[in-house]
Amino acid sequence: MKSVLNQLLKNPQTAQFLTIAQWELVLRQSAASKTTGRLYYLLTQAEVIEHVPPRVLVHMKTAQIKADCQQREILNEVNEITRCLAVSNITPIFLKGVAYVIAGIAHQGRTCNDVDILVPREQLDTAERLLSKNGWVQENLSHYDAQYYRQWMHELPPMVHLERKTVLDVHHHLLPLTSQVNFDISRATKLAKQHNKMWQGQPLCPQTLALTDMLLHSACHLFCEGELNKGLRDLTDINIMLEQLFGPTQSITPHQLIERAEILDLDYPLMLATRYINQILASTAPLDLFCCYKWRQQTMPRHLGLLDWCYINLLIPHHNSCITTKVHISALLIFIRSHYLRMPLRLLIPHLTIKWWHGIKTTFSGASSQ
Amino acid sequence: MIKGPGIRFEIGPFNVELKTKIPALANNVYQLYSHSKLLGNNDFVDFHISLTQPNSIRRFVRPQVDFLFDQTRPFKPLALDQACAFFEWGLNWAIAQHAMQFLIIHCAVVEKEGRAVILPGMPGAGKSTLCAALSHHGWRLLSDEQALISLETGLISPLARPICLKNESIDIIRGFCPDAEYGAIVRGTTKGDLAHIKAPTSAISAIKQVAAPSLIIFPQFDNYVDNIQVDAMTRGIALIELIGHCFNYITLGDSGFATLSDTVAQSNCYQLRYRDLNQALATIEALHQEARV
Amino acid sequence: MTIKTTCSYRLAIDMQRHWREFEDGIILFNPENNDTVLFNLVLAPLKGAMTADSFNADDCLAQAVEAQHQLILDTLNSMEELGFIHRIVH
Repeated sequence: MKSVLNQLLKNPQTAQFLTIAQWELVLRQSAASKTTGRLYYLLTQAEVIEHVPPRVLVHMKTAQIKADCQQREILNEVNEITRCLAVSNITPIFLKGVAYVIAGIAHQGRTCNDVDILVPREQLDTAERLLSKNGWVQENLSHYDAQYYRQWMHELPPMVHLERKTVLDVHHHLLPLTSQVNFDISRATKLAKQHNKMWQGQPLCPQTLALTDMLLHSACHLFCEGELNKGLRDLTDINIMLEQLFGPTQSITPHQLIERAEILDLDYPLMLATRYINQILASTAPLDLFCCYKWRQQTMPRHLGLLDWCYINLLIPHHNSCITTKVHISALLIFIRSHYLRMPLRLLIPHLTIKWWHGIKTTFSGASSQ
Repeated sequence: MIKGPGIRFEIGPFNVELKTKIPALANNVYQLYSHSKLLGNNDFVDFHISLTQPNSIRRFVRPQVDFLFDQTRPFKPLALDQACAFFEWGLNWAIAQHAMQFLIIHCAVVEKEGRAVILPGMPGAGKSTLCAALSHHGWRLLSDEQALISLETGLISPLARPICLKNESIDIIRGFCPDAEYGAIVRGTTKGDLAHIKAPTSAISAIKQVAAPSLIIFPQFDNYVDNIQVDAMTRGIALIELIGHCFNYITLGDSGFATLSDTVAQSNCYQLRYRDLNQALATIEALHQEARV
Repeated sequence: MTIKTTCSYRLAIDMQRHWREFEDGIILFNPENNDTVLFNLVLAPLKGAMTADSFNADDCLAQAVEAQHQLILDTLNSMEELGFIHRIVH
C-alpha cells in the first residue's frame, strides 16, 4: 500500500479528492511519522484546509495544540538551562527542534524529544558540573555506551532533569569526532545568532546557529544518521527553512548558501536534501541549482543511484501500511552507511559486535517493551 | 469478527476499532457494548486499538497481554487475565491524550433535564459507586470516568461507557441496582478486584445528547459519618480544586482556563460526605432541584 | 522582593482572557506556565488602574480605603512574585 501522506505532501491539492478512508490512513501515517501537526500547517499554507473533513481536522488540531503546549515548555527549559550555565559564563547555542522554536522557523506543528545544546569543548566539564548541581543526572547507560559517547561522539551521554524529566544532549560539535566529514566548529559558532525574547518579564537572549547553518546541520543530521523514522518530518523542516531563505524576504543568494555549505564541508548533505525535497515534497525554493550538484558541473557520485533507492524507500511514514521488504533492506543499508560515516572500520566492527551482543542479552532477559 | 478485521463501534464522539484474539476480552466487549452503534468498514475510525498476546516466551509462561494504539505500545504488558480491564484503561488514556477539542475532567458525570452533575473525586472517594447508583435511579449516565467539555460550546458530550466498580462496590451495587448487567470480574489488579457494568440502554440511545454543566459536587464516601454532610463551596476555590482533576488543563493553556472558568461560573458547587447511598442520592436530587430555580 | 511604591509595573497577562471574577476572589491565569491563582477580592477595584500601560502601587492604593492598603500591598507582592505583574525597568 502506498503512502497517501507522501502523495499529499507532494501535492497538497489532492486534499480535495481523498476519501474518508484515505484520510484515516493519512492520519495513521502522519502519527507514525510525527507529522500530524506539521501536516495541518502545510495544508493551511496551501489553502486546502477547508477540504479536510471535520472528524479528521479534530485530530490535526489536537496535534497542533500539543505542539503549542510543548513550545511553551521549551521556552521555560531554555530559560532554566541558560541561567544555569550563565553562572560560569557559558553561553550555550541551542540546536535542532528547540532552536526552531527560538528562531520561530520550522517549529510549526512540531514536537521535540529532547533539548540539544552546543558548548565549547573546553567548557564541557564545567557545563556538566553546573548541570549536575541543578538537577540534571546522567541517563542510565551501560559503561560501554557511556564510554562510547565521551570518547567518540560529539556529545556527553544524555542527561535527564530529575523533576521536569526533560532530556538534554550537550554537544561540543555537530558531528562525531571520528566522522569522515568534519569541520572546525568555530566556523559555525562565530556566526551564532542571538534572539531577543521575554520570559516571565525578564529578557532572555538565547542563541542559535545562523539560519543557513541550522539548515545545513539538519541536512547533515538527516543524511548521516542511521534511524529515519523522523526522516520525512526532518525533510519538511529543511524545506521550510529553504523556502524562508529564498522567499519574499530573501536574505541570501543560492550561491551564498553553496559557499557556506562548502566552508562547513556539508555540500553533499545539502545536495541530497534538496534532491529528495525535489522528488518528495512540494516546494517554492529554487532547488534546481542544488539538487543535482549543478554548481559543480561534474558527474554525480557513483553510488548515488543506490542512495536514491534507499532514501526514496525510507522517506515515508514508518507505518505498517507502507513498510515492505525493500524498506527493510534500505533501512539496513542506511544503518550500515551511517555507522561507516561515523567511524572508521577498525572501530566500527568491534563497536557493532558489542552492540549486537548487548542486544541479544536484552532480548533473552525478556525485558518488556516501552 | 473481532478476531479478524476487527469490530468498529461508536463510543460517544469517538469511533473505535478493536482487534483481539483473546476470547475473554472479545466476549466481554460483545456483552458490555452490545447496544453501542456498530460501524461499517467505510466509517472513519479515531482510535485503532488492539490487544494481543506478545510473540515471546510470555505468550505461554505467565502469559501477558499488550495494548497497542495503532502500532505504538504506550504501556508495559499486563497479565493476560486483566485484558478486559486493560482495554478500558487504555481507552481512557486514548481519549485523554487525543481529544483536545474537549477539556477533560477526571470525574463521573450524570444528567437530568438537560443539566449535568459533575462528580470529581480522587480514587477511593466513591464516585463510581455513586455514579452507578445515580445511573440506575433516574439519572442519565454521561460518563463514570471523564467529563468531555467542548471548548467550543461549553457543553458536555456523553461517553456512556461501562461503569468500573472496584472491590466492595461490586457487591454494593449488585444489591442497590438489581437490574445492572455485569461483565467479567477481573481479580488481582493494582486496584484490586474490578468489574464493569453495562451502561443503561437509555444512556446509549441518548449518546448524542449533550448537557450543560449545572452542579459540581465533590463526593467523599466516609464510613464514619452518621449523617450526610453537604457544604457549599465558593466557585473560586472549586475552580482551583478542579484543576487537579483535569487531564489536559496544562496542554490546553488559555482555552482550558476559559472553559473551566465558564463551567464553574454556571454551576453550584458543593462538597458531600456520606455513608448511605440513599441519602446521597436524595441530597443530589435536592441540590439539582435548587439549581433549576 | 517587596513592592516598591516608587516603581512602575505592568500587567503581564491579558485582562480579557486571563482574569476571572468569582464571589470569593479573582482568579488569574499565567499563560507562560499555567499558574492559576485565587487572589483576594480586594483586587477587583484595581482592575481599572491595572489596565494602564504602566501603574504604580499608589495608583492601586487610591482605589481603596486605608484599612485595605496592607492587603493590597501584600496582593501586589504576590502578583509580582508569581509573575502576573512585571516591574518596568528603565
